[in-house]
Amino acid sequence: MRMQTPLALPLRSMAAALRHRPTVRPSRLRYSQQHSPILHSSSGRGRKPTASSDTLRDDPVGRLKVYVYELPARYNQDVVDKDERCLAHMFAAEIFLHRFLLSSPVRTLRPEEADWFFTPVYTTCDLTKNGLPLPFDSPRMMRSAIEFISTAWPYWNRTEGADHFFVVPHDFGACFHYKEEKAIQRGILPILQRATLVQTFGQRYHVCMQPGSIVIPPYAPPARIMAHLIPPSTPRSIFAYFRGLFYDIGNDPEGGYYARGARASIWENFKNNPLFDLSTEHPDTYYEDMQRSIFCLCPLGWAPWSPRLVEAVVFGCIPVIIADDIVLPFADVIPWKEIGVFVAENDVPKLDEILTSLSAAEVLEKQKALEDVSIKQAMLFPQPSLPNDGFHQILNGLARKLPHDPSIYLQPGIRVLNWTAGPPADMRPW
Amino acid sequence: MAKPSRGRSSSRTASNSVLDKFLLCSCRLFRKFFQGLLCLSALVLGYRLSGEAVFFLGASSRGALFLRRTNSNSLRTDGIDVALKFPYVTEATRGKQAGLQQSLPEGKSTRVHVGRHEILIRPQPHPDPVQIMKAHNLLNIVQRQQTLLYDSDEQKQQLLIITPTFARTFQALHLTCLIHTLRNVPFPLTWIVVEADGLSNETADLLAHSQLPFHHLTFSERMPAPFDQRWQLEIRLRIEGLRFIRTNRLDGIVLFVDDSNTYSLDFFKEAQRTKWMGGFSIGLLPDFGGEEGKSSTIMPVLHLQGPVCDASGQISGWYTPFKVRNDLHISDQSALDWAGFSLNAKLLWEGFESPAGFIKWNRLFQEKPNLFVSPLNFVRNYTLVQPLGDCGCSILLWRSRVEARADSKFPSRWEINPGLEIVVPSKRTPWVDHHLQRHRSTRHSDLTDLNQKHRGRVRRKLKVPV
Repeated sequence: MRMQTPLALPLRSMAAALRHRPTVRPSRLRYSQQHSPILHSSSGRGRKPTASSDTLRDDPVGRLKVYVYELPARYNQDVVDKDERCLAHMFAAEIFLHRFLLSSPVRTLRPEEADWFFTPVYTTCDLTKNGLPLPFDSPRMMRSAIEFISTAWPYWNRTEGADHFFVVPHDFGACFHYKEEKAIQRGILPILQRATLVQTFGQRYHVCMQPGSIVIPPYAPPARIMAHLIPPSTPRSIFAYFRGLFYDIGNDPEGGYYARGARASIWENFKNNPLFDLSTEHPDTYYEDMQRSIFCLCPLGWAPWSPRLVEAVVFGCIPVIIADDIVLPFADVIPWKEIGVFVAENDVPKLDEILTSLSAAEVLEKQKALEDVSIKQAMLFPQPSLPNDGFHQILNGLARKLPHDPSIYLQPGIRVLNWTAGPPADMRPW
Repeated sequence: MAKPSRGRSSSRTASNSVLDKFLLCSCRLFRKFFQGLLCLSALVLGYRLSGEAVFFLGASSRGALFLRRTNSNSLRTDGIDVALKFPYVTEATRGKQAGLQQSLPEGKSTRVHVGRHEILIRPQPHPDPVQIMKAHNLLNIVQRQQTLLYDSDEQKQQLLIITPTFARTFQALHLTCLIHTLRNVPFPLTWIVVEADGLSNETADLLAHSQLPFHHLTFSERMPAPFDQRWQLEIRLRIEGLRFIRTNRLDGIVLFVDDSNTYSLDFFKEAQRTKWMGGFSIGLLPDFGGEEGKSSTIMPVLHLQGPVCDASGQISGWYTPFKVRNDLHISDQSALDWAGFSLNAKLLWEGFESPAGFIKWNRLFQEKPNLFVSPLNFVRNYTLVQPLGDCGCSILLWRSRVEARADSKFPSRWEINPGLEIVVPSKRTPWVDHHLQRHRSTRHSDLTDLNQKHRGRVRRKLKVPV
């Protein structure tokens, strides 16, 4: 594919490096456009790829076939046209996965031979003035889309959605609410209970976590990340780094609800500690500072996931994950225990002790594991798509669930799902 | 993730999850009634009663009811240093909360629950110095690993250091500093020490203990005593060093490091970027004292000497103080100190094709053997010199000529021969030795005598004679 856009150059050199071809580096480009962290990996020097890194490099082409339903534009394109900000916020994976699948070799135009079916409905695109998505119409939109595909094609009724997958990247996935209590109350949308959910939310033993879901990272714009690179020889001089809210004054003025009190605990315990660089500011050098830090704190917020994890992994900063029972993206192929440090929420007051008690050998091992190019590639969703990126990992995850169990195919006329379950407000047509 | 308040979110009065679940079991009317009751009570009491107040009607410990966050001052810790639990989230209530959560699959335990959690603060949130030490060690190790991994792509040529020296009082001072500087240079280097006035034990001793690879060359001529006559011999010593490099075809970057100069380690890193000839900025520290007692020359404006760049980064000349002391001559290019130049050793080799504009060694010595006074003689045009150190804007080395008095003596190799017992006290202090006179009589009395004298009296601090 000929690439015309200026930001294609670093991505092109990323792709070229992956195919082991020497890259062309015109000297007039800035450093960040010449080198990308994806290129400068030293993991190749005498390091045997582990089993997990092999599976990261699997090619899904030929292992599965995906049929993309053609829904009316009001489910997808019109929503984007109404608000262009949907293409840049952290829930944009649903839009880009659709675009990727349209031109991917795994797409088939004959639904009879398809293994998986994709429904392109953008449920997370109703944005407020501040750019945050409101989920109140999303269940109805999803129901409407499923009603459409179940009447226009016979494949939904064949399995009641067991060989369909949906992207639900919102805070609590298919529970379609941003408040955890309400989300738990609602539960997963009943008609999605047999389908595979591709979501950013992942927490063990949680109502909104359906077994068999594929957890993906939130969308982080790759061009912006590539534009803020510094030379890897810049010494890492910050011990632990965090930028973000500790108290959400608007929604939880007294504290204790937001982040289950963990972020407030971090602030109260370590605001005077010289090893911790904590602040609520939004500096321009945020990405550069992460590249100068050894540890990047990734505590939970209202939901356990955050784009901080993606940024930390791409910039080589060891993520310190403070979220009990969290399920991290692509956990079956990315060795999170080798890369990150896990701290229980009850242990937050001892965070400095935990971090300083890590031996130097362990820290260097984690940094070496972080340098694996495939892991960084798996965290990003570049357009146009590149090998081993997040889109390919989603397809690999779907391919690993094949072949389908024959019991998912229902007898004609049998209905398993309860279409009238759920709050009555959801039953109204969209 | 941050969420600013949304327009549609409900008010906070009865949005507590626990209470919601409690009230969901009842009917909606009761809920409305209860909300009205809370509202009225708020009006009457003057502050907002949260829904949790109902839940606490049966709470056992009321004393800590209104504490939202723990403070080290307010609560006793009883030896617990972490995780002070709020009284209303006890084991009993935790079970109740878990039970109230609907659609929880049986058999699976969850450690996390929705609701208000305590903010854990330890009683001593001060940073622990031992941990800070450990963290700094970790930072050191990580940074060293980074230089190992990433700096190896950069050039690491050998540095050829030429130092003219001679035995004198301050030589040990200067050379010790220089040895420690060179030991910290992270690049391979060869030290060529050219000594005037033959081989001396002092220099040989210092070099032998330096743990550096060195070549000790000697020159038979003696270094003259006056400062203003030394520069010529120094130049010849340096040329001797260059000749050594040429004869042995050493490869690398030649640096002229005088023993009394002070260097920053960035100087050596910057010198690696030399292609053929590089120029640095020097900070000049002129000798303010000296033989005359006061300096009779006019103070220069800036104590610097270095290349000056124009806007495009090309060298356009040198800045040098217009009038300094006699040990730095001003006439034409001999005013420029050798220390501010670096050379590629290949330029000295016999048979090497120098790039355009560079003069060969043979030519130099055939045409003008006595006029070789500066590295600039190697180039036809000064524009070929590469300005290093941020185009001459950062000073990476300082030149100082600090020497002892001309008649000062020092023990050979700074070793005090064992056997010298006589220590002559200095009698040139301006203070009169009163107490020295007074205590001289009691000085040889025993300590026990003193104790006897002072027995029964208030002990005073005994003044020890200086």
